[in-house]
Amino acid sequence: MPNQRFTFVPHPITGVPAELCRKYLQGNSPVSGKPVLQEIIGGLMDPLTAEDTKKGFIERPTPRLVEPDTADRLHRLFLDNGWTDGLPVVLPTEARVAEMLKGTSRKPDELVGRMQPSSPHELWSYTVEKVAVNAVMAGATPEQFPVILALASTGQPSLFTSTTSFARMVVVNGPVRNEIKMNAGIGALGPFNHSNAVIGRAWTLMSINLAAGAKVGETYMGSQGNNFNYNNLCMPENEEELPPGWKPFHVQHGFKPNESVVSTFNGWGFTHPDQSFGKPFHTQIPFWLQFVSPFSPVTLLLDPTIIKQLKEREGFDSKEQLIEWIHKNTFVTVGDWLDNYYSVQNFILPTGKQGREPFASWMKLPRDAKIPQIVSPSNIHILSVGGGTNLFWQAGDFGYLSSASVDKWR
Amino acid sequence: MKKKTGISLIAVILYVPLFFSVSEAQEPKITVFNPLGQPPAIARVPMAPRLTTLEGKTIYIVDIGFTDTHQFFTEMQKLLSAKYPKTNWVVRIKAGTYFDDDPKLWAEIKEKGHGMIMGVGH
Repeated sequence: MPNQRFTFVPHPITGVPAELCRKYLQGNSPVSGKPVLQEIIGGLMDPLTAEDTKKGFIERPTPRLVEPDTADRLHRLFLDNGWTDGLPVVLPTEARVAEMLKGTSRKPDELVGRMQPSSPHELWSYTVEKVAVNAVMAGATPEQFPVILALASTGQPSLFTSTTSFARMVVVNGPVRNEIKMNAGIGALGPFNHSNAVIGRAWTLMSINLAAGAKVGETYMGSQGNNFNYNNLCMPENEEELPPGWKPFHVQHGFKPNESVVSTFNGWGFTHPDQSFGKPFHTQIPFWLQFVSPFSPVTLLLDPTIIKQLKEREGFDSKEQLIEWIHKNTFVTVGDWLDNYYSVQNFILPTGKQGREPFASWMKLPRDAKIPQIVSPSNIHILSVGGGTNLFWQAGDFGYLSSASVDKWR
Repeated sequence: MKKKTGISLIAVILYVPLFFSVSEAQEPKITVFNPLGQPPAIARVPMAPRLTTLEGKTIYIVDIGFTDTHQFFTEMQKLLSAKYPKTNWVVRIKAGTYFDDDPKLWAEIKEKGHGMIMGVGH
């Protein structure tokens, strides 16, 4: 329905008093300049045009190649068309894309997946060749290509549009980390490693180009944006430094240790809450997690030195044991839960009203009753990352989305 | 001396664009791939017939349930009721979060309503 009828009032209306709502409704649309009420009645009564009653399909084929031009002009064209992340790209010439395709046994015309900027948006589809084009643009090599294909196969965009400006994270596990020389040690999350850099960047270029994403004001509405989107916190887990009993993330999720896997996460940010070295680390975690909304999952990025201490001095024999302890010892009062979190009010309470547990029961508790701040242990994730130069950690409101086998795309 | 400088400057100004256009024309053209994925075909859905009168009709005003916005919809109902008193303006809150479908409400509107205004946003 290209002519669907809309009118607009000034934004926002959340929490706006009734008198101001009335003023908005009696005023003009900030988009069309016409009276809002007139546009509402027009939407109901203005006769349909011939265009409004049309049936059938509108095809929108994507040309395989761009019109030949000089390199300088093509760089300008890619930038002007919004096909980049604003940084220079490697132009996807036929020779470079052919070379990239040597990194997989899959056929160039094979469908890899479908992606959309958010759930109400249309799903665009893409082939192995299209993923190769974006991998070339990101500066990747054929050896890194199976990881990028696996990432593409998840169908997850890195630029998931929300007015709240989501970030995404990609974590690599298994032998491929070392095959392509990823850095899980000192500076793992910094700009020091080619594979860490280009895999994360390729995800955003795919999100822009393969999912109709990143058209600011159309398919990207994040009010402030999120700087993590440049590279999406791309890192391998530091599996080698995990003590016995502490499983790598992909093994926790059903993959074999010798499988290579990419996993995706969604959240907003990470922070480093201060700590006392004189106290056990785990007893401080509930205090540190007070900043996390009870709506959100939690991901802890722990330096291997902290994991070693948690295992050897504090007695946690696995990630699962620590996760269970955090879940049982991190609380919020019902009163705070009801009153102080927009996400709880908007996304949890409506489902509680429909009878969804445990929220329906929690809503009936006294206001001073304590409930788990993190809804379920499955919403708590722990990753080993870092080079052991400090007892350092970060916590963020990131939740696990999905994983995909890299080996299937070799 | 001043006259000579002026002539030289004109010569340079004329020569510079000539130099660059020749240089740019000599740069080879290359072929690159279009990086965009494939959008689906758009299935056109004909819009529902419009009303010729509002008198005696029932129009639903649907609040999608974003927190602290219900007052906007009740004000809309008051204004429309005052302006079109012979129309039944019904405010309803969609069940669940704003992501959730509400087939019961859609069925009710199809059965009892003649039109719908839906509020989207916050």
